[in-house]
Amino acid sequence: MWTCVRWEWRRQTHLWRFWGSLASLAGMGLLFAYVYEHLRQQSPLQALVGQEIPNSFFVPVLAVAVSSLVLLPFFVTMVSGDAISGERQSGTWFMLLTQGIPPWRLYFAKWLIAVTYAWLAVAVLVGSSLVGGLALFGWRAAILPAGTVASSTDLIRLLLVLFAYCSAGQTAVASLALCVSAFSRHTVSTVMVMMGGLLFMALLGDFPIMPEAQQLFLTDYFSRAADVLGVPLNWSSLGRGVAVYGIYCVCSWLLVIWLEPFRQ
Amino acid sequence: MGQSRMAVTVDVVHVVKRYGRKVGLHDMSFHVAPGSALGLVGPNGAGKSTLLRLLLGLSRPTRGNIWLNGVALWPRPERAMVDVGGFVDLPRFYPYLSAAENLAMLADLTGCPRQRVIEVLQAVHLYEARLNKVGGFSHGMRQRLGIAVALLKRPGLMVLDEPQDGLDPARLEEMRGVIEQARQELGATFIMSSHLMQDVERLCDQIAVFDGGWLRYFGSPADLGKDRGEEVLWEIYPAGPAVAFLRGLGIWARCPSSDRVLALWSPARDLEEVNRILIQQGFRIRTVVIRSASLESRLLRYLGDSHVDVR
Repeated sequence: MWTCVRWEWRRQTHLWRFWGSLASLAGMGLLFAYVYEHLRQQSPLQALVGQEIPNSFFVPVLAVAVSSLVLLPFFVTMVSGDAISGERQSGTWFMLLTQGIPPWRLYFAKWLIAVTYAWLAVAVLVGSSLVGGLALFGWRAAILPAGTVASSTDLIRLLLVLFAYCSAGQTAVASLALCVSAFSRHTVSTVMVMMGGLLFMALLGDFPIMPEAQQLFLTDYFSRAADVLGVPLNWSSLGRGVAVYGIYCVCSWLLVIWLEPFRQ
Repeated sequence: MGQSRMAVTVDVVHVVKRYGRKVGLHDMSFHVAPGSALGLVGPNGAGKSTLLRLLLGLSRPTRGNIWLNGVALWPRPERAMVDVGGFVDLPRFYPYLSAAENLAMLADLTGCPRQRVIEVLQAVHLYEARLNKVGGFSHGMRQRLGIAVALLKRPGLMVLDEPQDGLDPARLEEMRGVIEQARQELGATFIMSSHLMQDVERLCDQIAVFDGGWLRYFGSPADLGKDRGEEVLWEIYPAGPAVAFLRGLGIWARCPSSDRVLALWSPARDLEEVNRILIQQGFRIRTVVIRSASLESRLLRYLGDSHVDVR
C-alpha cells in the first residue's frame, strides 16, 4: 500500500502543475496582504474584516473567504481530478492494471495524495497571506466583526481553526474530484464537471431560490470557511460544516465502491 | 531470463462482450494448454484486442468468464493476474521517467526484485538506453519496453497485442528474436495477436481465427485449410483484371502487389491450360511459381474475403 502512496506522491510531484499551483497560491497569499487595505473597504467583505485598525489576522481570513469557493477548488481539482483520468488519458492507468495491482490500492493512494495536496494548498495560502500580513500590519489583539475582542492567543487558535475548517472543505472537494476523475476519460472534463458543479452550488447559495434544493445540496457550507469564526467559537456551526464535508467524502467513496469504474 | 513460475492454463468459457448494442465477442469458448503459444488472427475489428483486454483484466465480460489455472478472472481479476504479463495496443509509460525508472516503479508496485529490471532490459536490448527518458523513445523501443514490462514478473502467461506493429524490417526481425527468446527461456503460455502471418507461423503452435466477433477456427496453423496444399504466384500484367478473370474461372485469387497474382491451387486443375487461357486473353505472364500455400493465403481463403487486412 505505502509503495503505491510513495509512487503517487512521486508522480504528482514530477508534474509542473503540483509545484506551479502551490507557487501561484503563495503568490496570491502575498497579493492578498497587499490588497487587504483596499478590499476591506468593499461592502461584501466588511462583514468579515470590517474593523478600524488593520490586522494581519484578517489577511488569511480574507484570502480563505475569497478563494475557498473557486480558486482553491480549481487548484485542488486540477491535481486530484487528473489523478485517474489523466493516467487513463495517457494509457498508463491500464499499464498499472495489467500488472495485477488492485485498483483499490491505487485509488486509496491517489485519494491520500489528493487530500495531502488539498491541505498543503490551504496551508500555503494561509501561510503566505499571514506572512504578507505580518510584514505589513503586525500581530496584535483585534476586534472581530461580531464586536468581540480577541487576544493574540485567541487569534492563533482561530487561525488554526480556520486552516482546519478550510482544509476539511478542500478534502471534500478533492474526494469529489477524484471520484469524478475515476469515471472520466479526460482531465479537462473532470475539471469542467467539478467547476460547473461548484459554481452551480455557489449560485444556489447566493440566490434566495429553491430553499429545498439548497438544503439538499447543503450549499451553505462551501462558502462558510471564514464566517463561522468568532470568540467564543461557534462549535456547533463548525461541527455541522465538518459533518457536511464528511458526508461529501463518504458519498464519493460509496459511489466509487458501488460502480467500480476502474475498468471498461 | 529464468523460468516462469508455472505456465498458465487458460480456459475461455462462453465469453460474450457487448458494447451497448454492438457485440464485440459472441459466445466464445476455448482452452489453451500450459506452455503452448496461441496466435490470434483475423481482420481489424474481429475481436482480437477485445479478447486480450478481457485476458488482461482491463475489460469485464458481459457474460461467461475466463479461468487462469482454474482461478476465475472475474470479478476479482487481480487475484488471477498474479501470473500474467502483457499489453494491449501500444504500451504506455511515464514519458518523464527513464526506461529503468518506469520498470523500477512497476517492480516496486508488483513486489519484483530490482535486479529483475536489469535482466529484462538486457533481454529486450534496451540496457544501453535504460537511463534515457521514455518520452524520447521510438515506436520500436516502446514496443520492446512493453515486452520488458510483460517479462518483469516472470509471468506464466504472456499476452501481447500486435507486438510487431509499426516496426521497420530490421526492428521486426529483432522483435521476433526477442519474443522467441522470451518464449523459449520463460516457458510460459503465450497469446499474441498479429497481422503478420509469417510471425504467427513461426512463433505459435495454435491459432484462433476471429471474424466479426466470432471464433471461426481454433487449432494448428498447419491444419487451417490443409486441403489447399499449394498456391501459384504469377508475375503478370495487368494483375487486377487477372484476379477478376481467374475468379471467373472459379479459382480463388488475390493481388498481393500491383504486378502479382496469388491463387490457391487445386491439384485437379491443369496449370498449363489456365496459363494458356490467360495468354489468350491478353495477359502478359513473366513468371509462374508453384509453392506450398502460405498461412496467409489459407486464412484469406478460409475467411472468404480478399479484403482482410493481413500483410
